[in-house]
Amino acid sequence: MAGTAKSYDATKIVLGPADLWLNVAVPSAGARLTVAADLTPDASANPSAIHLGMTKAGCTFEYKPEIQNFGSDELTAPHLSRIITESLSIKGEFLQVYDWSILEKITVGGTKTINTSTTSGFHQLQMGGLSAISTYPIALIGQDINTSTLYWVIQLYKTFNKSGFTFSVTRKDQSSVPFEFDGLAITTRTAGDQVGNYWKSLVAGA
Amino acid sequence: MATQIPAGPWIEEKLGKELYETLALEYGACKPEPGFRPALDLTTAFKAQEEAKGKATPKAKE
Repeated sequence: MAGTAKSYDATKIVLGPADLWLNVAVPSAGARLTVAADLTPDASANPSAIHLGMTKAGCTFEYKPEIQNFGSDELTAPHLSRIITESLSIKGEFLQVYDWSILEKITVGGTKTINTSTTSGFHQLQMGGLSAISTYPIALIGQDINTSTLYWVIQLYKTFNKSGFTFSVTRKDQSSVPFEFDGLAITTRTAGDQVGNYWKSLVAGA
Repeated sequence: MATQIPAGPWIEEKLGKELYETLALEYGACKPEPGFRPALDLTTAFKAQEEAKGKATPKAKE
């Protein structure tokens, strides 16, 4: 009788930091986000990407299925299980509360104005009165722990920030804004690939 | 016949509303909606199209 090989593999762990990008592009069917050699979204393929910048303690990705078990009067244990709903999210707290491009994206009902006049310039975010929600794709990109040119990506194809915009101002700590991007399904994509993708590159710059 | 993909970036402002929506649907990425009009990453599909063009057999000379 032969034993079975154990799998203690330190090259398969994830260790941050990682960068969160908003408003990246949606990859075509069967494809993945195009990432440049410096492990950022490729500028040509993702011309509207916005870097979320610094976070307080990184990001948390969650995939949470709700499972329903079906049983029968005759059996003591369930005989069938099905996924009823799935929720995918990326959450954390970001620090750059002065970044108006980020603020406009994370406040579902906010609109930024950037006035660069040298005599009366200002940046602002006006809120209140809108009811439509704009959604966009996001991607979390981190470096492979084993090879600096390789990376992993968690992309959600269609999201919005359900946490709104909350921050406290105190002399004792820097302000931070909690965010939670919920993944929505793109119903026209193939079942199984409608909400997001977690993948790792095997070739640099590919 | 498949719609020809122009060079990127594949944003609505550059492609125009009609081509943007056609490419989004045809290449399986998404169906854009009023509140969801993301850029399209058609890098893989564009490369495949250009490679296919390069491999096309030239017509024999008479």
